[in-house]
Amino acid sequence: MSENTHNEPYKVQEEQRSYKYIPTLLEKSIVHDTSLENKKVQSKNVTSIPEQYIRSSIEDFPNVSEFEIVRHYTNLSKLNFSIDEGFYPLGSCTMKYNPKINDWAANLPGFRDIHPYAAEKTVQGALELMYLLQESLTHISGLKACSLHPAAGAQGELVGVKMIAKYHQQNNQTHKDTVLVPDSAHGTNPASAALCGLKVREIKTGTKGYIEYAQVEEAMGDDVAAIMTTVPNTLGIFEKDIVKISKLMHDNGALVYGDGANLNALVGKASFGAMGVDVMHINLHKTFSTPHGGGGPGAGPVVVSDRLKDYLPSPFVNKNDQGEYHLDYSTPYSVGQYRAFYGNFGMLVRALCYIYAFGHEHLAKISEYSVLNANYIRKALEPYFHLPYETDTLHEVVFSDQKQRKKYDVNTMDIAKRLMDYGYHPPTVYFPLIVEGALMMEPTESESKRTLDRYIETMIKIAQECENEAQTVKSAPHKTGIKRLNETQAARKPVLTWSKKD
Amino acid sequence: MMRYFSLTEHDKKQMLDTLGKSSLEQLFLSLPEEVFHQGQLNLPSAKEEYELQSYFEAMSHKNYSAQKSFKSYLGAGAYEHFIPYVVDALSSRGEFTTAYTPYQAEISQGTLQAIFEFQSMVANLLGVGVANASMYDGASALAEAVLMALRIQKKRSKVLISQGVHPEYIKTIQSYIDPNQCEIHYLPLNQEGYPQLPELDDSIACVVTGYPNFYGVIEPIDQIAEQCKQHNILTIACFTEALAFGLLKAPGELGADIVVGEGQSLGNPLSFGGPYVGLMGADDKYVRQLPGRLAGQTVDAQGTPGYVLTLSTREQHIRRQKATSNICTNHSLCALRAAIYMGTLGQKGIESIALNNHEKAEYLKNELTQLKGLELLYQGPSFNEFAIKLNSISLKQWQEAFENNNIASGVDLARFDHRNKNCLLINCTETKTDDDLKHYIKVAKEVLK
Repeated sequence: MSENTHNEPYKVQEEQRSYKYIPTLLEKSIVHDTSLENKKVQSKNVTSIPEQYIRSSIEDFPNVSEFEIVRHYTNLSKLNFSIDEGFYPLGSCTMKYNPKINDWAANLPGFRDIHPYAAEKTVQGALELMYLLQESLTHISGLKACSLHPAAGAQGELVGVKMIAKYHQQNNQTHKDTVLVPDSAHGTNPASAALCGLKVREIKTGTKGYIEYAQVEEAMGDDVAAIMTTVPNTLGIFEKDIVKISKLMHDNGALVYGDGANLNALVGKASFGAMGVDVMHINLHKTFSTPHGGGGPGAGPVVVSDRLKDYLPSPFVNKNDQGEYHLDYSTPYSVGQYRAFYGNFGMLVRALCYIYAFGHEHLAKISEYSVLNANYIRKALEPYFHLPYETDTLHEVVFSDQKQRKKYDVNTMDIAKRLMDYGYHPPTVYFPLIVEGALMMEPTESESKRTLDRYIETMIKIAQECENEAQTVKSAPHKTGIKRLNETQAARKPVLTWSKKD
Repeated sequence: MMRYFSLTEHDKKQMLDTLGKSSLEQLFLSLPEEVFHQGQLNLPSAKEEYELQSYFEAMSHKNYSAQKSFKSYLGAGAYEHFIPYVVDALSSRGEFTTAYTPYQAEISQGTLQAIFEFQSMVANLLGVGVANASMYDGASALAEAVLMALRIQKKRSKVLISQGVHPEYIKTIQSYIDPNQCEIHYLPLNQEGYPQLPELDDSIACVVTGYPNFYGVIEPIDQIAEQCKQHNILTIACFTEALAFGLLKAPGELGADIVVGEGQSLGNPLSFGGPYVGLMGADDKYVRQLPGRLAGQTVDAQGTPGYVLTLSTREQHIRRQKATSNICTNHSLCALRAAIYMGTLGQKGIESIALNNHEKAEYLKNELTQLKGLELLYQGPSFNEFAIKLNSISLKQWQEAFENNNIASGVDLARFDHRNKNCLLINCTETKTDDDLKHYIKVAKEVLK
């Protein structure tokens, strides 16, 4: 599905997106001759392993030619929508251009073919790269130390909350067992806190779309270990009281957790250290353009203030006086290890490559342009869609379906599905939970004005369709080949693996 | 740098005019002054693409362990395997790499079907009823498996772990699990490298075994699982080398209830330890306790078969603090690589590579153990790696001799446990030629002389 390139901006795609059910590889292989010459194995005669552990054969496994594999996956790829094809205004998830040079760098033999247990002197380049990224992330966040260890944002969050819990334990403050979490937070925030054995006390977002100091003061108590904040928050709004809130926390021996999901709104501009944040994770794929890959891998480095630097997960990379790099496991109160080895190295290469392309001169443009683009969309769509919070927003904007739902019985999901007919990926829907029928849009820094203009015209066109031909929107998508899928059936009678009988 | 942006100066001016702003700075008026960075960021200057290329190339060249002439026998949870080029070619298609999590199923059928096929192949490879869309890596998957066992066995709080499990995986379990939540006991290994079970009772939630374990030994999980079943204890089988199951009977078939491990061997490069792909599967009846994503088959409004992410009621975006796990992703692109790899090799290919790995490793093991001055650390049968103990010389002498021949001879086991001084874990895969193996043996003979 490619973005509409016609002059008429909101024209429905000329042709139906082609869709044909592709049989699974496993289905394809049962009709296949499995005795292909090049795949023959001599009958196993292994005497070194007791017979009861020898497998006779792997049941229901594909046996097809390489050519068929190429066709199968090429055809599957065509059923996907990707940022390389068209606009993806996915709020809070951040789909931006992934520079091709990043992939080239990560695939250099000197990076992709090195073993994690190779002698340190033989992998100095890899260690240097990690060191440089640690330094870059430390400077960008305005914090003191960094570990690249966590495999994803949610794991970074878990590690961050563990650090907070251990800090209190070490300081004999074990009664501090509660985390303040705003109701606009990502679902992983409360889940991570719970996994660390901490209780969650919810803070209501104020009427202006940010947490108000008075609310936090009221919820504050000696049992509070930390507050978990996202800055800007999931409404795209800057937490105006953050400096005061951090001070309140610190004055009471509590810490401040920063969810770095939206760092791309502030990169090069604002310092999380100056806001009083003690630990934050950074989703490298959101701010530093590592590809999303249909759901990962990501990378979720953590950066910390002085208070927590002795608690970092292990290891991180250090440099000695001779300029040699080594893995450092000596953090006195380390919260330990959360995976094998040192981090999603391939993602780290890409992130550093992105940061160095901008350098100190241009890094802030990432946030400036993404904020400009988001505000441009906001301004243009405000007359057509309900904006639940009027406060200034940064890199993303949250509308709701209130106008369309009340008057024409068309909801967010319908609007999202209709966008597909025009060749766009829908925005984030029904998140944050505090906005009923949320439609969260984030254009990112990489999009052109022309793309935004076309998208805006399309959204306006859909708003008009809701008025005039609601049924068209409600029954969307029409042009995707496959229609709306039955999710209830999928959950009630789960079919999670292919088997011959089906 | 500007090539990554698409706004012209003219566009910017027009857009700012539309917003009634005179500069980009004005877009940030909601920030208090004290939070802005003061002065220039401490970063190098912007680099053009040709500068980036030479810079990163130079840095990668400092890693001489990636050179072709350098032969590595390092394993221990990360394995050097040949990756057919078709895996790179297909997995690097922009439609796969730059797609988002397939929440909008109608325009994400490619990723969804690939996940469904991955789940199917993994379930078949591991011999379990259901497998998820993948985890971060083997270590975190194992930690989640232990948490899952504790959820299933609500009233039991003891966890028994074979000391044959990868030491970094054990550390991961220790970090993930609250010490107040359960008691962890470690099972010592006997001469064979098999864990010694204590008297079992109803306070034990699960037993974690290695198959093959960290030392390469094929633990008798069938016997362990049988004993566990008598007390309703769950058996978790953990592996680091997924290709072993081209030769070895699947852990699920041998009675393991939950099977987890590292899938890097299936088409993912070493990449200095990540990103890798955690494989996780279990008996069907535990599907709702399984953490992570699941893709399922369903039909669309016209009855055409298609795929969606499903059973998300276990997940953090719905259950928040009550979620099964805080994991909100999978390592999808790595899982895709694994699926393409498995598809390309096929059943026969995987069986033949597994056999090839075993035969080469077995040859090396037999030749080495005939030499005076070293012995096997554990006697049990192994797949493609094994541990030796040096008796007559120090490991330092041994390693230096090999390094002089451009060979990384194995992983020093004292790195993980000081009691394993002078012990080496040697891995051998299909990437080593017969000449490579002979060279290894020759160097060993010389150094032991």
